[in-house]
Amino acid sequence: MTGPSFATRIALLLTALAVLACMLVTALNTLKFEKLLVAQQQRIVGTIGADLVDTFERGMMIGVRLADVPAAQALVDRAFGRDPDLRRITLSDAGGRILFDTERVRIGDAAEAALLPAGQARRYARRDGLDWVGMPVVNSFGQREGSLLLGYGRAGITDRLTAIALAMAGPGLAALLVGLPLGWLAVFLAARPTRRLFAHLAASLSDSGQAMGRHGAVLDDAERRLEAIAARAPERAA
Amino acid sequence: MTDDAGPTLRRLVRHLSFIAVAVLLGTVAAVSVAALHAFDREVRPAMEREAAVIGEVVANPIERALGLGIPLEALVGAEDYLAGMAASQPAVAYLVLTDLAGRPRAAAGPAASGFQPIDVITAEGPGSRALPGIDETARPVAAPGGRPQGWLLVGVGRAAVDDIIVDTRWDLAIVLLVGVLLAMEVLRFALDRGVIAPLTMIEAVVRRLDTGDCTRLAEAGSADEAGRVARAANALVRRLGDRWAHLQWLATEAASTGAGAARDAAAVIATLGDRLRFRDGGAVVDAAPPAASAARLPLFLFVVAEQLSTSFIPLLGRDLARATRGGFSPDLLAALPIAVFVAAVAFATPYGGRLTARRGPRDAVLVGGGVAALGYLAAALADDVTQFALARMLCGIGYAVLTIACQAQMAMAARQGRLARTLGGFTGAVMTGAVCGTAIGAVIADRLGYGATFLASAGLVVVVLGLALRAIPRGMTDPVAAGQGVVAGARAAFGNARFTAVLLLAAVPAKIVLAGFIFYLAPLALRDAGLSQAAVGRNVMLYGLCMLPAIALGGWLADRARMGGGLIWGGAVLNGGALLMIPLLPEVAALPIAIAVTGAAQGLASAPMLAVVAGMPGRSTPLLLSFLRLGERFGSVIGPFAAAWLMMRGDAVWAMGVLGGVTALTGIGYALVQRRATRANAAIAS
Repeated sequence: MTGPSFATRIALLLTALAVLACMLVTALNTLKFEKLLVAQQQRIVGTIGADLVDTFERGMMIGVRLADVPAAQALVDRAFGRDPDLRRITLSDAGGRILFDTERVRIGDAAEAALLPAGQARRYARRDGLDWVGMPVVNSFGQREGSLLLGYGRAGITDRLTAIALAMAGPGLAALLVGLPLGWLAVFLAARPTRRLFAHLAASLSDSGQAMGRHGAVLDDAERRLEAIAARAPERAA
Repeated sequence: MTDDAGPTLRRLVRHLSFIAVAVLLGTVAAVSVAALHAFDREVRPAMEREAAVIGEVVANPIERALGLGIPLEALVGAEDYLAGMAASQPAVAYLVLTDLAGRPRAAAGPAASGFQPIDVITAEGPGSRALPGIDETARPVAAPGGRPQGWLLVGVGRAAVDDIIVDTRWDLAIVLLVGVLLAMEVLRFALDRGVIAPLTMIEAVVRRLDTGDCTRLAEAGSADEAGRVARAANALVRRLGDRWAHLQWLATEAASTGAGAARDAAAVIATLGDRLRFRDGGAVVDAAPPAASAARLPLFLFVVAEQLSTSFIPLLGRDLARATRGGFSPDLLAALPIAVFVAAVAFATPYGGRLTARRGPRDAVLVGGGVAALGYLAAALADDVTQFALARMLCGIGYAVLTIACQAQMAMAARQGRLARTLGGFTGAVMTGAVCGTAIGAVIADRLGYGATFLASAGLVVVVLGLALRAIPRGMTDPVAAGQGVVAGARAAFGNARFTAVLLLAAVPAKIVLAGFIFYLAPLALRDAGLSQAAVGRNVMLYGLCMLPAIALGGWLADRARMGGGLIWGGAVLNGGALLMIPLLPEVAALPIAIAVTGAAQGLASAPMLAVVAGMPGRSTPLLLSFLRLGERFGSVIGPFAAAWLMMRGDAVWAMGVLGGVTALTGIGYALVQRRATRANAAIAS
């Protein structure tokens, strides 16, 4: 039975380790870049939302209720166009009823309670495939008049990450395609003396080998003597 | 081994290690460099978009003012407005409002003072600029529906992106370090199993054949070169066996011719029997001797699995403690999982030793690994600090059982004259595993979270169990210790004067110095000397860096020069001397030297100490090793308290000096005990 050399196993092992290390680096880098891009996207949407909240709050400072802010729906629609990843903007009153929405059919519905900000702090949530920022809208007396919810997708981030992953994959594959064959060649060259050692051992154990030769001679001699004894004439009983 | 086999194998290991490092460095570096370039390229549009959005928000009120007919140069409070906006946007480095010619009218932001005026303004405006550390985007400022009257320049700082790039470079270094160390361990394991162990076995069969022993066959399971040689050896043994059987038949035939012929034939067979030995029923397979290396890779991977969570366990403990209702402070409760783990390791170690003695290292590794895997799963699912502490208790029990089983396996399987070097491999595997696990664990936790990191630990332990099933042979039990309870075992161990001397005069003082000086006093003193946190970390790292090569050297010297005892007391005296030198030199110079010398001295003594304990005749190796480790744990616990107590009575330098003096004295004490034992042995021998 013949099989692969031990060098093949070592080379396969090396291949697996190199591929694993490349995959690990790619995955870790992608995750790190994703974190940065997600934080940046959150900042952009937060800036758009803060500006919109500021506009509404200024409107309320002259004594107008949130539902009566002039051209509020137009303001919401205009803010919606500021970022291609924005998917929905909702403005609800203090009770959570939607007053203005980029999806107009939803006006009058109840906003998702899980997305509404708690107190005066912003709320960040992920729901139905969208990231959401919930911001409070506060009147000049410091009372919460309502909430602004901005839902945004990650298409832009995904495109960028895909581009980064492809850019990593190209040189990575090239390095593997060049490095691994060279590595295999080097492993086989490094293994040659050891393979010769094994071959030498195998030869010394063959029929013509040293051990067989010495012990074979002893056995040959014994066989000759036994055959000579067996060839004697049968002895007569005394 | 044949004369040229040793150098050939050493060359093979050296060359393959070099090739593995080169291939890993080349491929991983290519991927990472490409990633950094791609990130830099892709992040720029994202930053420009952020700047554009900020610009639009900032420009809105200005444009409304322009729409009311107020000229740009007559705008009041523009600087204050820009300052307010810049303060509300953490990414903004500066906001600059210029006229159409690019002359600044108002500027604000943390980097506003370093604003570089625009050189060229085209028909489309100033465009975007990439300045050192800042990406700048320009936006025209105009009344609604009117012509531009000026420009708003938004500078977004690149600090966050630069931090990411620096972080990524460190991650690359960590992945490379872990990859290289892992490759070394895997290569060692593969070479031991595929080349060195079969060669050793074949050699044993060949040596027996040379002396005429034809009763044993080599194990010929693999299909590679080693298997082929083993099959060739076996064929030879079988052919010799066949000829022997033929000669016996021939002798019987010859004997049938008469009594004289029978006597002559019997004499021929007897003469042959003097030179060649055969087994009735044919030769049998000689089971391969257990290899010490079989436990090294499972041990290394298990330590990696355990250390994956080291960087965040206090943080997770504190988070869970905050979510737990009760009268205790979260900071106090956060220490509970750590304390429970240390206690579990300490108390489970002797039981792990007993389990290893009764069931063998293989079963103990399977039990320890199974318990630890359950612990990691439970830690991933824990909702409060009590559940987390219980999970860590399981991890501690698993750690204690598995590590002592691996150590005992290595000690019992060590070849003649290689005990210290083999046991040095234990310390080496634990240390490299700790380095790899801590480094890569922090990276994984940062990206995937704490739960996923514990799941990764559980997954790694499953790999460890698979390896143990394949590589560690059954058996290797200790029948004497198997019937002994832990208390009886402790009595037997501590009743042995040599063991007690090693424990109290060498092992425990070494751990007190490690925990008291390296982990407690040195960082405090270095920080007080004005070093940054990173510099303190680098200084403390010297301990491990000096210890790793010293372990190998200590093992080699103990085996080759048979100077294990000398290394133990010499190491302690050297360590003590290094600490005593601190009060005499400037701290900034003395501390790194003392840390490095402590690493080297403890490294030199580490393998001989284990070898002395493992080599004590008539005692159970697993039990002795487990009590040694238990004593070391107590030393680690006592160390910081002893150092703190000494510091209260003087200062850090004085405390280090006292620790040094005590260490040197214990070293001298061990030398005296060893000298007396040597004289007593010599007297018995004569």
